[in-house]
Amino acid sequence: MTTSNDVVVRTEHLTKHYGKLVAVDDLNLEVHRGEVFGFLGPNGAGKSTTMSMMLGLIAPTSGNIEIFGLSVKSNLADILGRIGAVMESPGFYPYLSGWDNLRVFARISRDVTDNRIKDVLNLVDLADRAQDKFSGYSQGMKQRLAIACALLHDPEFIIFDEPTSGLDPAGMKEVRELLIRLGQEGKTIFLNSHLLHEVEQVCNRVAIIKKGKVIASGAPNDLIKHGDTLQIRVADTDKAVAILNEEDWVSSITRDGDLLILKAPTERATDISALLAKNGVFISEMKAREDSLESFFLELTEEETVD
Amino acid sequence: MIDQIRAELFKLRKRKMTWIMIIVLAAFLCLIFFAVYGITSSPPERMPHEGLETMRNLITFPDAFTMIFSMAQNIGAILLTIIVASSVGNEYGWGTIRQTLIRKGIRYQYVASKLVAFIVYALIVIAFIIGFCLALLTTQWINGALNWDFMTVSYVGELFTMYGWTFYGLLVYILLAILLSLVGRSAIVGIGGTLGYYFVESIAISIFNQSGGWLAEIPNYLIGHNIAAILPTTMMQGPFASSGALPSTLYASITLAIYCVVFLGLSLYLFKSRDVTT
Repeated sequence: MTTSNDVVVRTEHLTKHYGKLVAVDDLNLEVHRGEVFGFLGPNGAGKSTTMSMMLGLIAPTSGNIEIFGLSVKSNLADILGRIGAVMESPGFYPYLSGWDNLRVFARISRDVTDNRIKDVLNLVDLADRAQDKFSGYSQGMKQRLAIACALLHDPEFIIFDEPTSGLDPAGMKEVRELLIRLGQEGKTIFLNSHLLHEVEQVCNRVAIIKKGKVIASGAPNDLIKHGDTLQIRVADTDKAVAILNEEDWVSSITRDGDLLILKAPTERATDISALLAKNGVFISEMKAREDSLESFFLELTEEETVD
Repeated sequence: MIDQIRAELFKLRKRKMTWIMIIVLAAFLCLIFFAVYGITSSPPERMPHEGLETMRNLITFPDAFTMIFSMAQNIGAILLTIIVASSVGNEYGWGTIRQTLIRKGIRYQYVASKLVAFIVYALIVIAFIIGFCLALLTTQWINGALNWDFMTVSYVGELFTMYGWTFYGLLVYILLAILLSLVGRSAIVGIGGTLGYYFVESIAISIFNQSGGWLAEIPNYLIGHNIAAILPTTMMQGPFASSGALPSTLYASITLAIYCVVFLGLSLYLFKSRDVTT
């Protein structure tokens, strides 16, 4: 059972309007202590807006956010002292070195020593380039500096918005390992990433939002349904869709070029083959599709599902 | 708050632009000084005697202080506008404003710490201008009989008063630059808006002063005209001199205080109430 002390973030009916556009719509979320929580959604789903509201950068139109049991509205300074955040497109002073940039933010955070700056720079493998100007950093180095900056004051709860953006595969692996390590150290992580296999590997729990609303949440393994997706390749996809839509056991059909992705029990493969052949549609390829968080995400968020 | 002010001063100190502006300022002061000195040393034949006397007084103590404070006000306003607006506006362009606010969150502290840093910087700039000009003028007279008799205790007091008034005049432009940079979320808006106002207002004041009736009253409500009124012996002797009758020092002080309060209040309100997005 989850007690209120275990809840690090709680949003209640969180809503943000920009004129007529509803960016976040009655969002209810809970993130528990020690969780690595994945926050997923297509572009424009309201992820960054939600994260910005948690950090006090954007004011909600209505609803509440509590972090560590405190209202963001009235206790922002106290809350921020315990939060770190790596925002998408991290901002630093281009005329300062990496080290000086961290010094500026360390001064604002207080109680951050030069030794701590060294530690976080070592952690993100940037110590050798610490004296170089930020303007000369590659995208990956900028991202690593942002992670170092977020960890400066040893926060309990860390928000990562696309932390592997701009990193090479080795850098991505390092960040992935860092996230896992931080999670193991008992930090609570809130991760937004487009790399769903990454989320699948590091997150204990995920929430998928679309048009500002949570449309699915749970442990990645619970969300992924196994053994009910088939992929077939046919010449006449329109006719095949029309035939298969008549069957009760086909729950959905999604087009992907000349491929059709069917949500249907895999043991029905023979029935599908026979049914289509009887109607003059011949299958050139059929296989059971291995489900993943990515396919689940796409299925939930893609607009172009064939009814 | 102290830590945040220290961080702002650190950023100002580390920025090349801060030092480049100081160097440009020094070069400009040298240019003016040597131009005036050159003309007074070998004046053109047709130059009227009164004109020559006025120019000579500009680089002769104690009247030279009039020019020094005038420089501090006029050039200082331009210099500070560029520094202030770029310092505030670029935080949006670089995205550092979000990085700062997600650490502290108290928005009025952010504006206040920037303002305090600019105040410190403005005081240093004025002191630099005074010091630099004094050095130039003193060097000129070093081999001659420079008479410091005018430098009595009361005159030193007067100089500090002039220093204070000069700073007060600059504060209005600092606050205007902060406000416009926040409104436009950009350095360009801050610099363009403030300098645009500065020059357009100077021209407008000259035009209004030539008019009669209620139009002639308008300058009494404008920043530049009131700044001219608080500066002793009317400093605004540059290209945009305020030629009309100036309001009283009390009236000008109150008017400028109202401008300061309005600019600061609007800045704080806007910054506190608006979302900070990418």
